[in-house]
Amino acid sequence: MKKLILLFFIVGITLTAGCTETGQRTSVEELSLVSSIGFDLVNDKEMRMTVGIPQPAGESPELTESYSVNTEMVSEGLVKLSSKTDKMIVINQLRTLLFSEEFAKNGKVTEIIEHFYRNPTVGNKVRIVIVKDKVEDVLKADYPENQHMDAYLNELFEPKLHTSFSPFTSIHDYMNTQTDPVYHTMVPYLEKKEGSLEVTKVALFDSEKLVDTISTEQSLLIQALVGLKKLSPIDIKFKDNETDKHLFLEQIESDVNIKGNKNIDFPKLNIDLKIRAVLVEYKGNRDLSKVDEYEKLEKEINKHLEREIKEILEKLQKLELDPAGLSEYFRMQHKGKWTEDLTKKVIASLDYKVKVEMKVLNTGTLR
Amino acid sequence: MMDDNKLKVLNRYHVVFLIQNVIIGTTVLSLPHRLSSMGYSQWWMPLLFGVVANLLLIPMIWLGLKYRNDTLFVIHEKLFGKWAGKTINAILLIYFIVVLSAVSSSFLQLIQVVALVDREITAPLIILLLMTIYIVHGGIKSIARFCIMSFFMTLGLLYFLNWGIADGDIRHTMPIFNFTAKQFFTASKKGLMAIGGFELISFYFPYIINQKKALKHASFGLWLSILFIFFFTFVSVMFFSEWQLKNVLYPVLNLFKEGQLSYLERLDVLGITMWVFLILSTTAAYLWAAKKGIDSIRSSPKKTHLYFVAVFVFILVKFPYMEAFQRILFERVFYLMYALFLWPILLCLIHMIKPKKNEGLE
Repeated sequence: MKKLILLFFIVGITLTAGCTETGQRTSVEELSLVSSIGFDLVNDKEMRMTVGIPQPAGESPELTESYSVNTEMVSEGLVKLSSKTDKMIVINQLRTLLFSEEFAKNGKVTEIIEHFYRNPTVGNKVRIVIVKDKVEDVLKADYPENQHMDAYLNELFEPKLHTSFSPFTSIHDYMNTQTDPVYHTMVPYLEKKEGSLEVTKVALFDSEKLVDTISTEQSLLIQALVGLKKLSPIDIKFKDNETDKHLFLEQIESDVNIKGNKNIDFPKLNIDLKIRAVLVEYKGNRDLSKVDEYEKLEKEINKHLEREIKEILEKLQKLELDPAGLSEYFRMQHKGKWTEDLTKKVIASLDYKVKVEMKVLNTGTLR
Repeated sequence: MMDDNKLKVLNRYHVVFLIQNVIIGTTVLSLPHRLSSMGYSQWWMPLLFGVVANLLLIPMIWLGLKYRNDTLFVIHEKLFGKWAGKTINAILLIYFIVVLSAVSSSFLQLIQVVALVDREITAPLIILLLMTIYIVHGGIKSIARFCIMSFFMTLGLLYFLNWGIADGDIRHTMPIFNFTAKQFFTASKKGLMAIGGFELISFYFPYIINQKKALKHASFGLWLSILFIFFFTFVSVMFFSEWQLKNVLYPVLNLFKEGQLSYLERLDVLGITMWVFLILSTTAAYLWAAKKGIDSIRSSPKKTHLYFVAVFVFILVKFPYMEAFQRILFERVFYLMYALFLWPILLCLIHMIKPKKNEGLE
């Protein structure tokens, strides 16, 4: 019993000693919790860093403060910014990293993201975004509908069904696709349109540099090829078709099955895409109450989607890029080290068959 | 304490979880990184380690069955004579102290990097050592009970892997044999230490009630922890690129980072904090063995020996002047562990030769 009391005494002493440490830690009120950081290109050496700091309600008339500074290194910039704000800047609550298109085309994104990837205080859920013009303008602008700019940005890049065309690139995803010789990186592309922000395109990276963008519709098809199970609604506009004009599909479930021929000299892929969806709107001349008309429409949709997929694959072939990881089907059969050159070679010479099987589940409760 | 008079205290559950929990220490957190020279093909390595460990268990238990009431320390004195035996035991003792220090310091450094940024580790170290002493105070049975508890406490960590599985790519597991002999050798050398801990059975074997079935129970415990290690390695291979496996120091922690619960964001901090149970069960078992070591060298069992060992560990971890030496020591000490894996085989051979000589003398 005496020993037990002694033990409690010792533990008690050490615990209280822990609380009365001389180097007091700063309390939350004295910290500036940065939630977004933006990067603009100034010149070869310098960049312009802008931080967005959400303010506690009632303390400041501005809901989000933002500051900018020119710097060569990230940490240096954060220290400089600390002297601009009255509080110490910490990045534990970081949510979004924004880069201007110009910055990404210079191939500087990777070194900055690696800096954040290294830092253990940063969570892995930080999203990466490419911005069309200046990031500073995006972070400093007023959004009348969304006063809380930081929460707005954060919400915009939370994975949701209706935006599932976006790759929602996190720090981990970025580093993963950058360092994996098979994948090329995709990052959502943001545009400021009057009083709001919109993901209009998806940026494609060739190793470290941004090279091109694709539309959100094309990006959605790539997500389907990667294996995403639930897709955002698709709007289909038929070209050169007299009976059908326009239709809209919702609640789309997709299932992709891809088989490679294990030969990297003459690579061939069979892509089977099964889609089940609800048809919510239809403009055209078919009488959909008849079963055979229905089946004909499904075939038309299949043809349309097959053509779309082929189009995007052809575009990627020209760029020699593989954001969908198609060459992984060849890497997994390849002995020895796989390199990015092999990926480019496979993609460039890839021969593929695309087959889409579409099933319309229902058209709602009206006839 | 009431078991003090009785030697045989460990039932089959105790054996299973002693083996299982002592194996998992800090090394598991970095195992995918340690095996990274093999690239993606590393995922089945834990299974191979399991087979190796299972084979090594056989001579350990065979030897134990020949000396049913003796720990390895006593066996040394019986086989090599008093002084040679005591010398070997002294080396073993030093080894245990270094392993204890290596495990505690690597865990505390990790805590410092992830959870307690810019704080001194002195206080956590003292608390860790005091907790360890407290567990060891109750003898090997109390350690075994603690192991059972920490198994169920930490089982939930496996749930944190589901985000990694969802975002991972199963195709990374192919091709299965994509490495050179040299890469395989490097990976084995660096990774084998992850299964260290089962060799302690040579020390607590005399405390097992059903010694004849010990091999079965020990193998079961071993494969339980191999499965645990295998899951972490497998999901890491799915989730990371080869570059990330090579460059991220604690892949398993980064896996935890990926998860998110509605009320909790940084699962890695929770994960590393829960990991203290696995660390405590490991340090407790080694501290217990080290205490038995001093007991046998001084030929008298005393509780104060526990505090001696703890003070040595504290000094070794906190000793301010030899950081470089310390780092090398903590990394290299595990090669001695590999020697200890094989040591019982040698003892078995000596044992087989020795009785014949005794018979001849009589």
